[in-house]
Amino acid sequence: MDDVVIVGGGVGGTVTANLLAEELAPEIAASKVRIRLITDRPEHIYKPAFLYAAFGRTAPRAYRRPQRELLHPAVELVVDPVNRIDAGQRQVIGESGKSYDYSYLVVAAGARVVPQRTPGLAEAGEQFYTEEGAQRLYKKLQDFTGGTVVVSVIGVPHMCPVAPLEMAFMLDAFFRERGRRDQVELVYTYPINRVHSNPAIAAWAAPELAARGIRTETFFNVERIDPQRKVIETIEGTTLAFDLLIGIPEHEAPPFLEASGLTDAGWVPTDRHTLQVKGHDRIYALGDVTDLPVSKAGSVAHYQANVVAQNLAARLRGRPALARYNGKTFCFIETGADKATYVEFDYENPPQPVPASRWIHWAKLAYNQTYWMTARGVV
Amino acid sequence: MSQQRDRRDGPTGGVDVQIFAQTPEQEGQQTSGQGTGGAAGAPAGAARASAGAADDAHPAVPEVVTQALTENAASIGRALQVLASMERSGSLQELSEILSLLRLLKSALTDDMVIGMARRVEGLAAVATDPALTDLVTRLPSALRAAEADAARAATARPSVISLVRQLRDPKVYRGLAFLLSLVKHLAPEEPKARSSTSV
Repeated sequence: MDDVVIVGGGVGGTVTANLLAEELAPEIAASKVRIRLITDRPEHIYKPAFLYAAFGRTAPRAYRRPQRELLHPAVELVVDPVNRIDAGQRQVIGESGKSYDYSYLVVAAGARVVPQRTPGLAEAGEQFYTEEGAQRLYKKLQDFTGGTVVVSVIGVPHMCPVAPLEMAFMLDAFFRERGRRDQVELVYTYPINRVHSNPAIAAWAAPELAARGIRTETFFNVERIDPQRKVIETIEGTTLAFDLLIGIPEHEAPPFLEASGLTDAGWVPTDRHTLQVKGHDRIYALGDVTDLPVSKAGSVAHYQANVVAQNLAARLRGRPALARYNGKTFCFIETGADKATYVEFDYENPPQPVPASRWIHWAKLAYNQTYWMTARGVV
Repeated sequence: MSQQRDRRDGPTGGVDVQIFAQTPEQEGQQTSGQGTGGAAGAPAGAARASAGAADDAHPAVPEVVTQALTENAASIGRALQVLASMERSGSLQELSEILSLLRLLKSALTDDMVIGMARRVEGLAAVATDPALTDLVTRLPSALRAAEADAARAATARPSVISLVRQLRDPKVYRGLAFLLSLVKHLAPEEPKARSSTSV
């Protein structure tokens, strides 16, 4: 029997497992193939909802589902945080002490924030990349009466590259709706010489920020934060005082990957087309853990899951693996005041944001509700 | 801390280029695109001269347009009236935004996703049009109405074992029960262990 082990219960791992289970139904029924998904928690969380949770526009029950409910019945769910991967022995070892043999392994373990890497950030900064962080920020925003709010991109790459821009736009709308915009100075900072790493998105976003009176600071590399004085100090030698800091922390792949020798400079080295981990023919990686020059976004993991599932199914049937990932990425961008736009791009074609509209905002809200169909592999 | 050093080392912040794919050629295209924008700001006379040269090169284009305008003047006039009315009311803007949703769908979907959805729609349609199911669904409303009427009549009568046994003698009840029992049997999963397994 061939064992396919998928590590990670996010969108990438879940979609891969479901697509494989559907495609390989005859082989699974004949006990020729087994599919196991190993995750560290029994619940599946839709992380993009945290942006909305920070503004009180969604509730936990809307972005949580039992992982079991999202998986094809033929997929075996294992809740056991991974301790390490032994690529030589083709085994995944869980914290429970159990080991799981694999014929093929899919690493879809996601990324996590590490605010402690920036001195003072954990003490003085807020963020919306975790459920706890979004809930804390929600309370801070409710109590905030006036002063300087800084949205600072500290760590790159980070999950959902347009989310800091969305946060800035939504903060502007939030304070305007409450008649407090004139009591709030909004500042957006970015480490390089433009407001976003992608030139096309930066070119679109800069005038959008300016039109809302959001001040921008570029070449702004945060070195440390002084929690007592509430001041950001940068590598460039500048300082910026704040009353509320929303800092996008540095990110990293789960530590067990580095301990397993599967990372290079913090991320899993991955072939940009086949999605195989470099040097490991039987291991695939997708989603946030890879070192690919694409967004760490759910859509990317989804598109990549299609490629990995097709190639794995082909190889398990002794056929050539022909599917290739082309860098496809799709992101909605909330622009505040109940409007949104979106970008789509790939390795060859840069994004071209369209004018924001309420219809696209509604499409995003609808997608948030129907995401669960995506996870099930229906869409 | 090593990542902080990376940011210092990189000429543009180092790791930023990891976020999005962009080839040097694309950067070059964008830069040249800005140059083109600058050219657009050239004196109007120069732009007209350029347009005139294009007209000379393709004299048939304006003629075709002129001919179309002449032949369809009334229709085009009415269409423009509608367009102007839609523009004034804001409907044109709404229409444009709605149409952009089609582009959004095209952008978000892939061949695999379209094939997958079509396969599911076909699967659901196959189930929905299965004669066994349509026959059952067709009989359900009258069965429900009859059952409600029977239940209303029997509401005052206390059920007893004897009355239940008596009903079992009714050939229709017998056939219905046989049908339901058989249905339960065939609905059972073939491999109970396949559904298993949240292990820890």
